[in-house]
Formats: sequence, structure tokens, C-alpha cells
Amino acid sequence: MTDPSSKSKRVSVWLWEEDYPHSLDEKELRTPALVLREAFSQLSLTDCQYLLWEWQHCHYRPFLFQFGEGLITLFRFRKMLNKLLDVAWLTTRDVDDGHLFRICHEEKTVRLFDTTYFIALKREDLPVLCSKLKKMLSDGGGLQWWKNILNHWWRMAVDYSQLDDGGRTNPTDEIPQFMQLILMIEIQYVLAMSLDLTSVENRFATSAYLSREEGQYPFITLMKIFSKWEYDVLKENLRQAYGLLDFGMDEGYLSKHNGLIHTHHKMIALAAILAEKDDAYFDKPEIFTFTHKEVGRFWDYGRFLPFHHLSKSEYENPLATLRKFDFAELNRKLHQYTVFLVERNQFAPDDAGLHFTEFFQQLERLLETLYLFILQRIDIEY
Amino acid sequence: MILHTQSGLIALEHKRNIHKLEDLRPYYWEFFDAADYEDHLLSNERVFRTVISNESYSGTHAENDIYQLQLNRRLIDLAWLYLECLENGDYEVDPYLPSEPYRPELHYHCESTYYYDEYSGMAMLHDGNRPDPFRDEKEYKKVINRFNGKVRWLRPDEISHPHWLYEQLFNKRTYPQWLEVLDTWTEYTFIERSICEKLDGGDVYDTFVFFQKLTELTHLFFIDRCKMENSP
Repeated sequence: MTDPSSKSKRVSVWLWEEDYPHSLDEKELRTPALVLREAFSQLSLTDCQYLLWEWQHCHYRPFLFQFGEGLITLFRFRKMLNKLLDVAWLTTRDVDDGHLFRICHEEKTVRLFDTTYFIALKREDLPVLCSKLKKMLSDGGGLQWWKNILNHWWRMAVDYSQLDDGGRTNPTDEIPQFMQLILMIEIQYVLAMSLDLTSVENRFATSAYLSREEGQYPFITLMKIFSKWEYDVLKENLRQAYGLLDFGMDEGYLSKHNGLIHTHHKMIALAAILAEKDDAYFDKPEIFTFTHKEVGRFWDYGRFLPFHHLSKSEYENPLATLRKFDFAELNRKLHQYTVFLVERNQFAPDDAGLHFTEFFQQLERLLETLYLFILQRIDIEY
Repeated sequence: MILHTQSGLIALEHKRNIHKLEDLRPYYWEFFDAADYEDHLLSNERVFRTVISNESYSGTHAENDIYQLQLNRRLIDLAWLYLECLENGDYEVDPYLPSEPYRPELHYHCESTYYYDEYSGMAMLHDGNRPDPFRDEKEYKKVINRFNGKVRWLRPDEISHPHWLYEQLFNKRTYPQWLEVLDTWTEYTFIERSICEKLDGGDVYDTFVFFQKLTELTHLFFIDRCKMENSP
């Protein structure tokens, strides 16, 4: 060509096969911290957790992504995740020079850890964030592999390909992938907070499992769940979720099985919100008053309800019982359980699932407490 | 860390050995296997209208517009690969000569008596080389006649020197910048606002014209008309 220097410059990078931080512009390549600043000034950690969690469930539901502001939220969120992946890749490769992990001071990160709900990040990870991030990137197949994953997730959320079960390879892979992606986000969040960024208001979510509307009126949401399923059906659902321990998830029933887990996450999150409210909140009658129409067939008189797990004192004061649960731990356990179901054949000692039994007893206790609580307070206007 | 190489980020799924221009042919075939030629041109128009207007037509078929833009993305990839092959192979190519726009020379005479002007009179110098103002229209007709109405956007010189168009494409924007533009377009297929709040409207139209020209050029490669055009 005319300009011989252009010869050496024109190089193809094959996106789906080579690692290259293509979503960053020159300024961002120079200072990856800019991306962190930008990302976490748009969305809070809770928003990210909520959006990613609902996004994961788009793999099982024949609906388009409808959370936040719908597809545009997902589009921007995915763009942000691409950038975060690129930053993760850059920071883990570029360890000697002005490197981001040096700014994480232990007292600060520990304080942050104690005040924030993290799904995948553990306390013992805090001193080794960099190697955790590195492991996350390399566990799959590197940067481009994760971007392909996001591309696949995107397709699941914007069209109806989840209906075509036959053509999907490795369904349920998105469950461990979710944990890895959320870990990546959480590590970067810790980094961003170490940059003296203040966390922003939640835009779309009240907690990692509830949208703003759901979290604003927790009782209405809870009543929606309880009027969709009778008490014994809910117990049966819980039993089915526990029963998965024996056979794992059935690929033909992914939507059913993940739906059970989805609902339980929501219930735990709702209970967590209720447990934080002060006593005065529960004295307002309008919170517990529903019209017959809203509640549907919620309660048949003369039915015998067994409450297996509550002691007499707990039975008498469900509110106090509710406040005793460790909800963050319950949610994390439920995540662990889901991952265990998918990966169980990789390490399958017979009693590996035993320690989940106690967890399910806790879930059942929670269900009973919530139900009892509502039974005692609810006022249905006929 | 800064990556110095300016790179084309090719979004084709499989890496194949592409060394010669001929190696690109399966990709042309693949493209028109995925998208019908006329349909692709029309869809580009629809996407253009969607992003530039205040309404969003995508709705439940949001993925259609995204898919459409991905196809255009692929055309940009092909353009890049074409140039790469051209530069690495021993092809003889005419360097791109941007045609000088006609600027008549002006002759100023008489020193002005107005305090704010230096000259009070001005005349155009006729150099006898004034271009035909209707040349573009004739060229346009020539092109659509030759290709039975199949080609409406390309100029004859772009047909005989495809790399000129491709070079213009990457002179206008670098590869990553094109990705950014496509991203912005995608974003505005969802939003019920006009893309003009972010990009200049004329620039959006130019981009659209590029999409159409790229489609047409790829189509010509596909039916192998460009080669005939080049051979005397």
C-alpha cells in the first residue's frame, strides 16, 4: 500500500478466541479505575446482584428480561459487565505497575465486608482478592470465554431460545457461572470502594433478590406467594427442593426446579426485610388488611396446620422468632445448595449433602414462622 | 497497560486461515446465506429509522435490530480482512486518491473603501476545468443501469477500487470506534428517543450510507462482479 507503516499496524484479533480488552477505550486502558468508578456510580452492588440473579433465571423462563427498565437495563448491564471483565483481565495481568489491588487495606475491606451482603465473596478471600480474580478468569477459559458466556446469557434473555431445550449444550452451567460472575463483580466492588467511592442509591432493587416494588411492600409480595400456593403445597415444594439432593436437577424440569429455589430466595429476602422493621411497623392495621380479591383462596377454615419445627415459645411470638434467623447465611447456603446440585457428580461422597439437611430444617422453620405470623395478623375483608 | 496495536476485532466465530482475498469468499457466501440482499438493505433502513426517530419499533422483537447491527458489524469485519489480505499479499493496488473537491479560484480586485473589508470586488477565475455539476447524477444512473437496479449507493470508482471504500471506512473511524458507534445504535433501538441527542444526525446518515455501500460491495463480491469490473 502507499503507507508502508500501515502494514504492521493492521492486525486482526479474533474476538471469540483471543483475549483482548476490546470494550475499553484508550483512557480506560490507561486507568482501569475509571471503569470501576463509572460502573459503580451507575449501579449499586445490590442492583448488580439483583440484575444478574434475575438474568440467570432468564435461562429457564420463556419471557424476555423485564427487570429494571427492561431490555435497555440489561443491555447497559451487559456492557458494564464486559468492561468489568476487561478490567479484571488487565489488573490480574498487570501486577507490577500501579496496580489496583495495592489500595485494598485490610481494615477498610473488612469493615465493608461486615456491612454489605456478598453472595460469593468470603471473608478469607479478602487478603487474596487478586488470585481469586485470576482464578475466576482462568477457571473457565479466560477472558474471551467469559464474554462468550455473556453473549449466550444475552441471547437467553432477549429471545426465546430457552424454549428450544434440544439445542442447548450444558444447561445448568449458568449456575456455577453465576457464582463466578457475581464473585468478579463483588471483588471489583471492594476495589471500587477502596478507591474512596461512596456507594450509590439502589435504582432497581431493594435487596439482592427483590425489586424496589417488591421490597417496598413486603407483605403484599409475601401474600402473593402465599395465595399462589397453599401452606401444604409450599411445604411440598420445599420437600421437592430438598429431594433434588438425591437426583440432582432434571434437565427437562429446569424451570420448575429453579423456580422453587427462586421463590425461596425471595421469601428469605422478604423475611429479612420484615425482621429489620421495628415494632411500630407491625402495629399498623393497613399493612395486614387485604381484600378478598387480592388474597384469593388463602385460608380454609377448619384446616389443620402442622408446625413441626416451632417450640411453644416461638409459636407464641413469631416476630421474635423471625428476628433470630441469619438471613444472609440462609441465602448463601441456598446458593451453595444450587451449585452443589449441579456439580454433585464431580465430588459425590454419599453424605456430602447431609449438612444441607439442617439448612432445609431452617428453611422449613422460616416458612412456618412466616405463615404463622401472617395467620395471626392478617385481616381479610370479605 | 496500553496496547499499542490498532486492531480489528473480528467477530467471526471460527478462526480460519485467511491469507488471500480468495479465502474470504466463503464468508461472502455465509453472509448472504444469513441475510437476503434486498432484505438486508431494507432492514438497514428500518434500523436507521428506528434509531433516528423518537419512537422505538423494536418492542418484543428487540433482537431483530440487534441482529441486523451484528450483520453490519460482520461487513466491517470483512472490510478489515480484505484490507489485511491486500496489504499482506502481493497484490498491485492503486493508492487511494481522495478526489479534490472543486474549489474555484477567486480573484480579488479594487482595494476596498469600506473599513471592514479589504477588497470591494471579487471575481471567479475560470480555469476551464470546471467539473460537470451533473456528473454525480450521471454516474449514479450509470451504476444502477449496469447492475439492473441492484446497486444504488456505490459510485463507479468504488466498484472498481473496493479498497478505496474500505480505507475510507477506517479513515472515518478506527475499528474500536466503529464498535462504539454500533453499540450506541443498538442502545437507541431500545430507547424512545432519537440518537441525535448523542451523535450528529448527518453522521448517523453517513454511517447508514456506509452500511448500504458495504452491503452492496459484499454483494458484488458475492456474485463476483467486481472482478469482471476490474479486468479490462
